[in-house]
Amino acid sequence: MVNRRQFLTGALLATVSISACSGKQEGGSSGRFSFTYLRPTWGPATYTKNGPFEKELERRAGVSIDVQIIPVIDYDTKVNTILASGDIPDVIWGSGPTSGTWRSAQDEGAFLPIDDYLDKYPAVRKAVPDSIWKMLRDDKGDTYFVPNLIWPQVPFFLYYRKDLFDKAGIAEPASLEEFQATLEQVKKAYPKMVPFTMGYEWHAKEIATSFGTGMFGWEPAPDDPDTLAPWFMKEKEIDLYFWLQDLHKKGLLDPDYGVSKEPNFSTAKLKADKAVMAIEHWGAYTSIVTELRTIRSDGAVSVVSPLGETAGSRAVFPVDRGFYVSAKIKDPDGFFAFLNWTLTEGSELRRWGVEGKTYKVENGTKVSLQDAERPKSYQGPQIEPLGFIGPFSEKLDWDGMRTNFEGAGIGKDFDYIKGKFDDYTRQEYFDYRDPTVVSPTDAKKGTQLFEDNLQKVAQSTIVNHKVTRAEWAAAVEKWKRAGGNAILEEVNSLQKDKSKPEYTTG
Amino acid sequence: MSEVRAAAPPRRRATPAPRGHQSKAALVWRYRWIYALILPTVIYFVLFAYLPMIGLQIAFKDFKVFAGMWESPWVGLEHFRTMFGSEKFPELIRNTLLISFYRILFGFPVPIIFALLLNEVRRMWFKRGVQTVTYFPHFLSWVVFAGIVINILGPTGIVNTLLVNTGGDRINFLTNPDSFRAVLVLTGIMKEFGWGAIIYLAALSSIDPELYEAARVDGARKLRQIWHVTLPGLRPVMAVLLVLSLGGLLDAGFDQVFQLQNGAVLEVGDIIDTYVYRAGLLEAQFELATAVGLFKGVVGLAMIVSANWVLRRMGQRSIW
Repeated sequence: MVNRRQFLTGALLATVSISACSGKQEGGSSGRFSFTYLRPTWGPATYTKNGPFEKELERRAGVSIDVQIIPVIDYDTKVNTILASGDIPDVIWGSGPTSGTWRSAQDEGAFLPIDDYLDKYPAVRKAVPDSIWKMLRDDKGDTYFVPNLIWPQVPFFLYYRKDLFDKAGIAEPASLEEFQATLEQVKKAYPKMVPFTMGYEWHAKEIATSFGTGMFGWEPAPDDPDTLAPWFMKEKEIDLYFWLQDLHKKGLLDPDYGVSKEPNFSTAKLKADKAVMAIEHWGAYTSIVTELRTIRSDGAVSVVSPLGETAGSRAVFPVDRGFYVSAKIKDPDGFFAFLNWTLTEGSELRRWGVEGKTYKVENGTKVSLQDAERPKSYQGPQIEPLGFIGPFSEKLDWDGMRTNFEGAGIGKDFDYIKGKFDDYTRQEYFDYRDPTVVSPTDAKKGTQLFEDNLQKVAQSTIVNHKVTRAEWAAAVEKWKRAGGNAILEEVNSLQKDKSKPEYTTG
Repeated sequence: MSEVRAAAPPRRRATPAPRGHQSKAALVWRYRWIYALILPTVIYFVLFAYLPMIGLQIAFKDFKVFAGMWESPWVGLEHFRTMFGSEKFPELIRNTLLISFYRILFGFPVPIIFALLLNEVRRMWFKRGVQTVTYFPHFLSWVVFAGIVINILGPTGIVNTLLVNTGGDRINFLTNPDSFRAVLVLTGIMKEFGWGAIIYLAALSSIDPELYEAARVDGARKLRQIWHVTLPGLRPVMAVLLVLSLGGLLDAGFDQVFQLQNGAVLEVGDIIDTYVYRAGLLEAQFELATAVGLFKGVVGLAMIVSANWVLRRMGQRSIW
């Protein structure tokens, strides 16, 4: 999945908030209404119940929220167990109808149909583009799921230590070939450092575009644009895997890749002056630079432009989980009134928080405070668990980001990073498969087919140097024979529209 | 007289059934407080071990979470067919059995040897210090212990950093399929041998000191005493623990394997439980996970019963 930690540090700092000056209840519902709420957290799971932030939010909104959090890495496993118990909280985060598990719970009547409430509370409906609401409806036309929107353009930048490059006289690479040559130079110049690191395969999604493909997505087959093929059947994507294997074999890719269980280990190495180049979310720039400078005051970080003519960015489906409301919730009106409030009167509170605690005002402009500058009870881990949804229009807020850069003391770098973002997103790659169209065979035994036939090549190729292209091809053939052909056929017959997706226009 | 005695019908020693019941009831009443003491344990097992077995039925059903277990339709052996029909099943069984077998082969003697060594230590402060240090890893979760292992043996861990800094080559302890099972077994032993030794130390303390005295009088030195007194004294405990460990043959240690596993060693390190976790639990296929659990339970029971029978036949102390 997309690493959203940096979105959450920026966007979340601006997500739920409180205003200490107001003593009056502002909530949309008249009485105090309680609900239980289960959600994942991307940040550290150190939330403490009834902190000052939570109390203030509850007081102003006129609600009482009983929050339970699960670290995102464990969320799917644990929430499945909770689902299996049949006793679910009033509001529960999940993958939505794109997942067989949640769709089946939805079909079994576990969740509340929400269309009436969307009509009654228009701010909630307005927060999500109509095209997304349409995709989330079931075959009877009912909506159950409130999506958590993300901006679909989430390039992972190839960061590098500019100070070290300059010192060794190494130039920024402009193509894949140059990149590999650059890594050789880096290894020679800084033998004790890791030349290049990344957390997991998904981090290479922008490098994949240099091969001319959108990673982990279905795309039209080269010989038949009307037939979609999955990622593991695309030659260009297989090329990427073996190219990374080659880097790993030559000691140019971090030896901890594939071994460390900590998803942020690669960024941690860049920040800790242990790696020279690393791939990370584009929004991580401020934290990388500020944290590196606590170790190396002269440390400088730059971003490599997209490598080669085909290079760009792989856009993602703009929904990353979301939540359902239990069919057994006692006061659905109360909950939707609260949700509506967070998007209207409570919007400022949701976005900015408390002045002096989560943001400051400079020259009449609100500037989010970094966690290090906040009191502990107002830091991200105490705020993230109380987040719900934010409108799509807020997902790429350049003005807010500029102030964050200025707040972090690196305002002069903002235009540079924005320019790089534009460079990366100029050419976009997509997953052509509509995630809301479900292949019955895929839903029933897709995971097992993948596990049985493709897991070894998909998970091992980069770090297991013995895996060959012939093995990969054989694995794909086995998958097809074991039932993959049925999945290919169903996806292609059920999905009528195979045109390039368009997420950003709404 | 003797003829009369011979002609008389044999005396029935058993008391008539009603009287027997009465006396049993009377016995229960007489020892009611003792029975009351065991009652919580019985309730515990009924509630948490036997009643949940009702849920085993979902191994034979298409489990619908919100319709409930009883309303879900029966699908017969479909989930067992899925499991046994998996392409990976032979590999999973092989890996699981091999890892478990190595654990027993190499791991079983270690706590015994450690207990024997510790038993010979006469300085109590040293003995207690060693015991505390060796028990401690048992209380760490595998998440923590695996982190320590990766920090020591990982590609950029302490050992490899020392090797590289002294001009050597990096050794892929964790990504080399040839060494991965050895790492699993060794780290498993390191974590648990101290804890495993407790029961042997307890058994050692129950051996009659007069036996040692007699052996010494007969001229037996330390090793002879261990061979002829200590080990025979430990044999019943060893037999019971061996039988119990055979019951877990299909449990190759999910926590440990899951934490240490990586893409490079899947061929040798992917076990039944890690596969079920990915294909079953992550995808909410609880039926499949239950079917596998049932299969493992049945195999485990068969192993325990067989091993226990073998022990009895060999004249050793058995579990029942």
